[in-house]
Amino acid sequence: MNKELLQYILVNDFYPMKGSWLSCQIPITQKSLNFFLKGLSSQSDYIESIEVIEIKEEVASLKISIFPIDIGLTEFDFDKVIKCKVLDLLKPPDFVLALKVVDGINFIEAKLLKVFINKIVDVDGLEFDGKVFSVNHNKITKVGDYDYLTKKMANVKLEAVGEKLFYKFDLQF
Amino acid sequence: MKQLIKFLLSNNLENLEELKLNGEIVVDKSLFIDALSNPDVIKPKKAAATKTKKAAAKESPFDNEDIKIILNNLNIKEFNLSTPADKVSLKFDLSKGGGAFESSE
Repeated sequence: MNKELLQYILVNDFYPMKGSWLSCQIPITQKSLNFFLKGLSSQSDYIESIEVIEIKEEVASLKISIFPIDIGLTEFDFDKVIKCKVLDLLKPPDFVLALKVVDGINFIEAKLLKVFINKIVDVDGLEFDGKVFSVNHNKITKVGDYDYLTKKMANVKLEAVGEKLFYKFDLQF
Repeated sequence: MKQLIKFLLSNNLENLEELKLNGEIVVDKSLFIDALSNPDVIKPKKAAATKTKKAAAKESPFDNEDIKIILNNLNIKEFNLSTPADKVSLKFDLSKGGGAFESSE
């Protein structure tokens, strides 16, 4: 497709290619999830690393390491593997990755982690409500620059097939 | 986006095992011919061109090496350009490994 034709299609909000469609199935690998998570640790002085170390069905094992923080009488130190169920995966327009903790942290740790992530780390786009981590890629990446295309996405879903996860969507013009 | 594409294409598309992609792009035949023969006819006006400058700047996320990697590692089941009635249609069906494609169309 030449440059002028592409520009014409974009200017006219894809109307010249009305009726076109595309179906896509993208495998979600451990490396792919880590690609989306890697920006987080670089945005905070407190997070040493966040890494997905295993995916089994819809459960991801997440290794979180946080630099020790002085909280008065003691230090808050967190270096654990927690298991999270993938609840929501990269749906437009915000492309949120939502992971619900199912194992690995107790009540007190969850409370401390909530305060730590929401008040101390304070990265716009990263939240933890005590049960669910959510990473809003519209806030931490430039995915919003592509809204002219992502607004055409439909039937966005996450499917687990055996031990594999797939991100599926259609583009309808 | 460029970073994401480089990541996906790395190590012969190892992160795209079982990728499936199919679809159909349809445009008016007259528009397609204008685009090939006389691009000035469909060049956007200045204001509109500015509006889409950002989008157009990202129109070619793949370089020649990327295209070589894609062609070497994807199974192209269908890549069919036809001209039904007054349209130009490109149907395609690509995959990386895996079984039959189940479209939600």
